[in-house]
Amino acid sequence: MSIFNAIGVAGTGVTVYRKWLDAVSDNIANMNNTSRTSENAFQARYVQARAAQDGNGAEVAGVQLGNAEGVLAYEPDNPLADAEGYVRRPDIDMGSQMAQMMMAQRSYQANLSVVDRARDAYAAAINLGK
Amino acid sequence: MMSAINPIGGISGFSGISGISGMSGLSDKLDLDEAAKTSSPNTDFARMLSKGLESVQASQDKANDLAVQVANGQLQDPAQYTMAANEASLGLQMTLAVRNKAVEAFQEIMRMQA
Repeated sequence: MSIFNAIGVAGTGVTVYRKWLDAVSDNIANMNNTSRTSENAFQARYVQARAAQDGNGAEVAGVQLGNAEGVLAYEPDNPLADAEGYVRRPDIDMGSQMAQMMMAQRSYQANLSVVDRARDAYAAAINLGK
Repeated sequence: MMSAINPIGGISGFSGISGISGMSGLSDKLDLDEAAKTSSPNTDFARMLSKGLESVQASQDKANDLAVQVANGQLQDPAQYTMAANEASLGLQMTLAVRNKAVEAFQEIMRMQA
């Protein structure tokens, strides 16, 4: 625990949610990829958060990958289609991704609000008795 | 085809926040137990102040590094910079508050009539 610790702890939360936002934006950007049935589909990224090992705040433990099989779609016009006319699409649900994006965004803002309030509180303490 | 690309491969490697706790030195210096061990109160306060200044300097350096990263376009999260800048500014205000109180006390003593 150091002085002005609340700012550092909230900062770890900001970092976690930034990474989550990065993962969600990556998933949405790749949502409509197609690949050959002989290849893996784009795998959604899921950020795995946990309490920081040093006891101050949160951290990202790693990124889990989604289903590599994806879903088979019948698109005979697609140049990547196989003999039966199928391509592989990522198994990503846009509704779920949008909900995750909102959670990540609001949590990011919540952590920044904590930084803001902590800063004001510390400034008030420093100005005490001036 | 696209699955070979890993645009956020670096995502788990980033731990920019670690340096932000550069203020840790200050709390050690303000520790009263440690302060009580030293012999002279004058050197004690001077030592505390200089070490406090060092840690303030460290947090200023951290904020400066992040500002350079903003200019280079290397910074992934602008909040990292603003938080480091806030912490540096708070540290400086803290140092000034301690210094002003010390000077105030000194002047109060100097005003005493013999």
